Amino acid sequence: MKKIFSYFAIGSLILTLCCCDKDFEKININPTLTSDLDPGYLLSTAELNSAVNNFHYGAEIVQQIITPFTGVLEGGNHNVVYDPNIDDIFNGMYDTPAKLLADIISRTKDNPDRSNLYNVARIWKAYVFQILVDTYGDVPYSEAGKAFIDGNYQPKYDDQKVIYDDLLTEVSDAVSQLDPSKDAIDEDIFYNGNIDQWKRLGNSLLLRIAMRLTQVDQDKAKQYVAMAVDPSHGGVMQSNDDNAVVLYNSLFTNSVSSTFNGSERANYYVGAPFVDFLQQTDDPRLKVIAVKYANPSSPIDDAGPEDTDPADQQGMPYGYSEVTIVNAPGFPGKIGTAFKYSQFNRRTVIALEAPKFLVTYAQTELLLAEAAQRGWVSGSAADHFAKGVTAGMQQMALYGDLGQIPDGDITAYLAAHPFDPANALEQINNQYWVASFLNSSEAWANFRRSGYPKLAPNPYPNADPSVKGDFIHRLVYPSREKSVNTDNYNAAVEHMGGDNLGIHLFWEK
Amino acid sequence: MKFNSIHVPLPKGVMVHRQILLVMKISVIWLLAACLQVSGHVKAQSFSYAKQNASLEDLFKAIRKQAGYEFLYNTMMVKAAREQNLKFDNTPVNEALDRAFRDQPLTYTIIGKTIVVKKKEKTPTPVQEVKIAFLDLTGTVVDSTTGKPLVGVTIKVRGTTTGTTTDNAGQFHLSAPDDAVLEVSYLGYATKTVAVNGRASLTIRLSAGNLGLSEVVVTALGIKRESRELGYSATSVNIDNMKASKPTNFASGLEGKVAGLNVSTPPSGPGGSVKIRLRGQASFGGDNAPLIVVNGIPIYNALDGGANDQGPSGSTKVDEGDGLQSINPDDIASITVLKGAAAAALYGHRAKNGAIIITTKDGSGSQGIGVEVSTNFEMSQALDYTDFQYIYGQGENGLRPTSVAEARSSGTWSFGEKFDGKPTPQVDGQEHPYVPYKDRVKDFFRMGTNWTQTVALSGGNDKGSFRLSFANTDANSIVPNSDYHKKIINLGMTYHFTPKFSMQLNANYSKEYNKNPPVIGQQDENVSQTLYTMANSIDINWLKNHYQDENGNEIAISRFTDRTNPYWTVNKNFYNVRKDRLFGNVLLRYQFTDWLYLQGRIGQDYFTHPVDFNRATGTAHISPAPSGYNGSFYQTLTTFRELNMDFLIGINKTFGDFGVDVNLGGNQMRQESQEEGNRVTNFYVRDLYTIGNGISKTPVYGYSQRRVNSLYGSAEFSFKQMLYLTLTGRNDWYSTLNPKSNNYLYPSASLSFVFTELMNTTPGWLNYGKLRASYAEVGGDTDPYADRIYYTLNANEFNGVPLGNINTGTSPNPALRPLSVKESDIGLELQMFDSRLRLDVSAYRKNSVDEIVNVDISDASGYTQTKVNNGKLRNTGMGMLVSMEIIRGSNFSWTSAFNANYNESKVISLANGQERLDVGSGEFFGTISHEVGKPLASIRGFDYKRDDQGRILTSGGKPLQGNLTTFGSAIPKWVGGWINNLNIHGFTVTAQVDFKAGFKLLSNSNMNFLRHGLSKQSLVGREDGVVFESVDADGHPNTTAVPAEDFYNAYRSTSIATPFVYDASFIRWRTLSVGYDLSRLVKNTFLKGLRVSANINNVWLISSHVDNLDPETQYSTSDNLTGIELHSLPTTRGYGMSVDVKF
Repeated sequence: MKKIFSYFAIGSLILTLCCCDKDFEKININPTLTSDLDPGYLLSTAELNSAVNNFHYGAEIVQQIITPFTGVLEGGNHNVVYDPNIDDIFNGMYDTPAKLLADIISRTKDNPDRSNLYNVARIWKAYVFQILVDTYGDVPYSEAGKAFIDGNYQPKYDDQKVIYDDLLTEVSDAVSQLDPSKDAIDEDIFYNGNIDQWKRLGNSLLLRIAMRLTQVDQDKAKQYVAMAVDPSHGGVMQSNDDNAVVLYNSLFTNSVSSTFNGSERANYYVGAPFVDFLQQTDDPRLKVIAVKYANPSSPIDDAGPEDTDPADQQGMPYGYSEVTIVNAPGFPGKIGTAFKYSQFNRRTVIALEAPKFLVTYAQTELLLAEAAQRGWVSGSAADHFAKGVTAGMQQMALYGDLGQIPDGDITAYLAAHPFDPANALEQINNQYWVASFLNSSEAWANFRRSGYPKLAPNPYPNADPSVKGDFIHRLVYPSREKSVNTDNYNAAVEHMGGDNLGIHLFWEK
Repeated sequence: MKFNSIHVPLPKGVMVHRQILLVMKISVIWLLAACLQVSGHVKAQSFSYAKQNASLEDLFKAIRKQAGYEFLYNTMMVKAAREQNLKFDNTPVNEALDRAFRDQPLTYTIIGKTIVVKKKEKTPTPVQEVKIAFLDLTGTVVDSTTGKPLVGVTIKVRGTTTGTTTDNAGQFHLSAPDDAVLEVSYLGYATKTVAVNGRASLTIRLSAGNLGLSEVVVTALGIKRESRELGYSATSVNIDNMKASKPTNFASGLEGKVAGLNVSTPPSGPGGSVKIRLRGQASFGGDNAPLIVVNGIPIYNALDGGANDQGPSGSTKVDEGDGLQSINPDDIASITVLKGAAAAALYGHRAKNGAIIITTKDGSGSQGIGVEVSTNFEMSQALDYTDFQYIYGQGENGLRPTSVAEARSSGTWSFGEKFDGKPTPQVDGQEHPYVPYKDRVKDFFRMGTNWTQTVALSGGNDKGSFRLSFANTDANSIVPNSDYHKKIINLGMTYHFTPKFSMQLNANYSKEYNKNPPVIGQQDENVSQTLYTMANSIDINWLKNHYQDENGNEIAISRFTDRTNPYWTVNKNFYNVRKDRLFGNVLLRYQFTDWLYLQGRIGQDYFTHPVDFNRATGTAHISPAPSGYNGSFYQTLTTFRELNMDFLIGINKTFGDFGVDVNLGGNQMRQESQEEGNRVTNFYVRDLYTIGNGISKTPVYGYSQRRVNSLYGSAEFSFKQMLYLTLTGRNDWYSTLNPKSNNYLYPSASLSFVFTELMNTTPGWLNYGKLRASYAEVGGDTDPYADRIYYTLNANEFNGVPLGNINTGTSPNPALRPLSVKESDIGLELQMFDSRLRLDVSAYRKNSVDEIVNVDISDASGYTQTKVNNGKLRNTGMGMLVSMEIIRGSNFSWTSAFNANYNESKVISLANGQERLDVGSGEFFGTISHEVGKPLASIRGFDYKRDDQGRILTSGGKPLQGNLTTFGSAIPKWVGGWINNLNIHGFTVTAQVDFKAGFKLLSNSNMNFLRHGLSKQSLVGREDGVVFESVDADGHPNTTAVPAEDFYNAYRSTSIATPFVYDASFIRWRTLSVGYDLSRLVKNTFLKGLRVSANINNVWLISSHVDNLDPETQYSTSDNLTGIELHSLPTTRGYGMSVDVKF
């Protein structure tokens, strides 16, 4: 019996050893990761991931990019809803930039030592949300990106107009609080932490947001345009050095370029209206952008002779499928299943390392030209126009040596197309369209706002009924939202009067 | 011989000499091995005992406990014997008995493991007057399957201790009342009761290890129980039926064998995984596999590979197999399926989906050295279910290719011209006649082969036993250049240091090499995808030598460049999966007294799992490199270790009619895994796939650790072999949950009532009847580190700026508490008509509450998912097993067993009032969702756009995307099998038919077959366009004709799923095997046994409703992708042969 008791004693010892949950909290902390990363490190990723791959709708709606194919490539080319392509901006913006910016803001807002980081994050958040509103209309804003911070998994959709008002307030306030003497920001891929440049970016963004209101609230637009250009507020961008641009490299390549160089290289073409406009105006940018390859289906090394002669370029017309395109007037023929239309130059604008412009000096000058034309800012509209066009041509240099446009060509172009006050808005906004090539969201938004360039609606016969021979005015929400955020989605749809491609945004009459 | 006395006649065999005894002994051992039935660890041949005034019955009891002998005697006769003082210390049994019997009027004989006690000769038996008629019975006991006589079978007259054993011819003689009921028992066989009913001659057929009166079942924690004691549903698998075919992953052989067990094997190659589900799916997650326990310790059985949702990021979808691959079926002694939560309650958190208890052989019962060699060879042939159109050939928009370039861009379209045999440019650069080609499946896939050899050495003596086996498997997949190799060494040992102190050791080492497991369920690099969508006039043989151009780049055959040339994939891509794994445990057990023991056990499962794969430079669909050569290479090493330490105290006491059996124990589980690797894209040197040669390098590192501490106990109370009540409790502490709510106590109770024991006059037709009922709760936890946010830094800087990020898209939740599954189960077991008809029915209800769910949340919240504790889900069902001995005869017998299970699942609620939880989606279309109020795993997809009257709306003649619609559940309601065993003059024939019904499948392949012009449906509108029956936006009937290719392509762009949803029910003749025991022919040689068998696997798909495909071509074992079909390998028919030799 003695033995038995001793064994029982051993048994109970084992019990006490194994029954507690000692060290469990420690065991459940991952020793190989940190829960306390300096929020500054998140800014760079937020900036980088804001360059969303979004050619499927914006650039197709403004008729710069076209594919005739149905199936997975469908979207703006045929004025239809294709859910996986509708998601690009929604998921791209919310899943990373909005989440990281919300994290930075919540962790720096009460910390005066990180005041600059906080305000930079607010400015960039405005950039992100302007694109979201411009794409979808009402979107989650006040409750967005806060699943972990607030446990809010189903954020409500805010009124697009209210969001716009808040963006104006936020940006103007954030810019005024930026102070070069305060905390340095090291993890910034745009300006390497230069606070003055951030002020200029903030004001240029303020200008962009304000100008969007030209159709609906000119007083407010004017008020914020004035603040944006006010030198005491830091002023707007002064040169292409102030551009907010993502400079891709061999490790981080441009995702649009990867698609256009890889599996879809034989499937995308330059839109006919874009080629026609550049040809008609003898725009020196055409030879940087457009090319005809002998073997479009092959990788660049095997693609054969590259014809960049502007005179040889032919854009693909809108309104056709891969089947019916052969009936298009002036159909140039096929190479395999590729078509003999102009494509994008894989050595320049869609090179794998091609930069992506997000907010540019050229756009800023062109907006100022319009503001001057409207009499909202002092200075000459012609002067701003010339600066805008020049900057737009000079920024092509970032596409490499082949993108360098000689000063003489620019001067000649300006001389051939002098500013015409009688036709100012069309002239300015046509240039804005060209200067925003591959910056699809902005090109599309400004097209809707200004009505320029004057494009013919895409006549594709199987278009979504809501488009009704017009253009796509907004994208529908991702179908996933209907499923996972149903109540808020329904409220937003009710507020906007539907969820289809034909609904106008609040800033569009 | 007198008819009126009860006595024990001396079996004939006993008179024969040692030699025959030896033969008998060997036979017993041999039969034991042959039927692979579980047997307890070998008991000592010697024992210890000390008692004053001990009765013989006391002594017998001790011998039975310690040495495992059964006694046959007349109670009165033995009670009459004198009490004496006895003391034995590690004394051999026969010596002890000699001493105990010296001064008694009794003597004994040992026959096998039975000791027959009888009067000493010459001592006249006092005649007892009994006023009942006695018969002098003669009988034979044979194996019900083989018809072979069984030697040493115990026959008892119920209610008495009268009995005998069979001789070496399987015969017995017995004097018994003419209305006596005989209980016939034999180790490894189901005990059987036989009513004499006045017959003087009987043939009794025993079935090996099936449901039985006192079949021994290995239950949770390795505790052995008689089946009559179990108040829950547990089924032993007949290992013999598993031998009908020997797949590389033995688990796929479980299909159709057990009611409630739903087994499916995705056609993903010989190294692939097997999906096992018990009584539906207990959780919303992707892996609801039951816990696999080998020799008392759980083993790792998670799925690996992208096809199972578990691949490294950026990997292709490959099925890298599961943990069951490490087990050699020849090593298995028994498999018990613990179906309900009550059965598995003692295993706690991981047994919420039930448990499969595997015991491996340890040489028990061996005497001397034995050698077994078995060889199995199986060939498998890809089956072609396609029913394509062969009227129009390759081409697009009604035109054939006019140039090689066109041929190479339209190679996946059959919208060309009518076949006319005219020379036409082709993908290989040549011109070939424009004719149909129908042999794509036959020509591309090769004959799969699988060679498996096992050599096992076993031995034992009165101290213990061992078994050591080595198995080698070499299998070739039906896909060229893909093969699978496996070596397994298994050691099982038992040793008794003293009669009280014993140890057991089990160790299993496996080394697997899975070379180029095929990519399935995605577009790129999937040979099936390209092969099956290839135009119907391209001869696959043309591509054999035309997959790369002079620059070494892929020759694509389609403008869809992700339809990778299959020979490019096979020749240029590689994917190596290796696994070195050692698992096993050591158990020490001390038997303090005959009613108390303590055991301690430590077990470990450890493996290293290196994987490397490439995407070859020059693959058409991948982007060019900014510099150097494109392509990628990935190399990773996962190491995993799980340590289980447990102890168990067992107390077993009988007080008169009452018995108590208590087990108390504890367990600590530690799990740690680590993944380190590197991924590189683009290379400096062409075709050199190394990390060093990569231009862009991204290191990969992952780490995870978890711990669960547990305490548990069970108590069984029994009354008179009739009523058994078992109560269990287990408390788990989880490291992964919120410390405030990290532990959970779950109870279970089960009751077994053998009501036939209560009936004084059992009707003649009813031999055995039992009612059972149980209730149990089992808890569970979640993944480690789900409670807080973690940040990461990108391995590469962006232009000198570090990139930080939040490491997850799943919002962490610090407040998680344990989930639980609550299951009630009732059942009825009957054996009727001389046990020729057996019935086992059960009904259950399984509620999963507080499910830890990865809920889909709005992307606008910054995250795509979060984990919450809020799902509720219910599975209810009924299972049945009917088994019948239809024909009984020594030369011809037929046993037929039918099992079926009906399961209905229902999602009761999800978190945050959500209506739906999306868990997986198909590459082309289709989503798997759990929807409130509907069964689990709803297949969802877009319907046609319809008007208010439900008419299909078209725009310009083409359909439009309508609403997301639920088409039905992807989980079968009915699963079952019908197994027939025939014995015809020594030939054993096994045939199995199984079925699943009541579920849906969404076929991505059939959508492709239509839009690529392959299916017969695509013939509509070839000449004049498709005028689809529909209305336009104004409600007018559609009259617009759309060119066929353009029209059918709309199914892709609109993602309309409606036409591609199928009823996935099927009936399949799964296996047919014929075996013959040649042992008789080799009787006088050095061979002890020889058996040959042949089998056909997947004999005939009797019923199916899916076009162009086998309904079982699902590509993933994950529940999150179930029901979505997308170009996996074809299913195969196997032809196998095996030879088993014993020395």
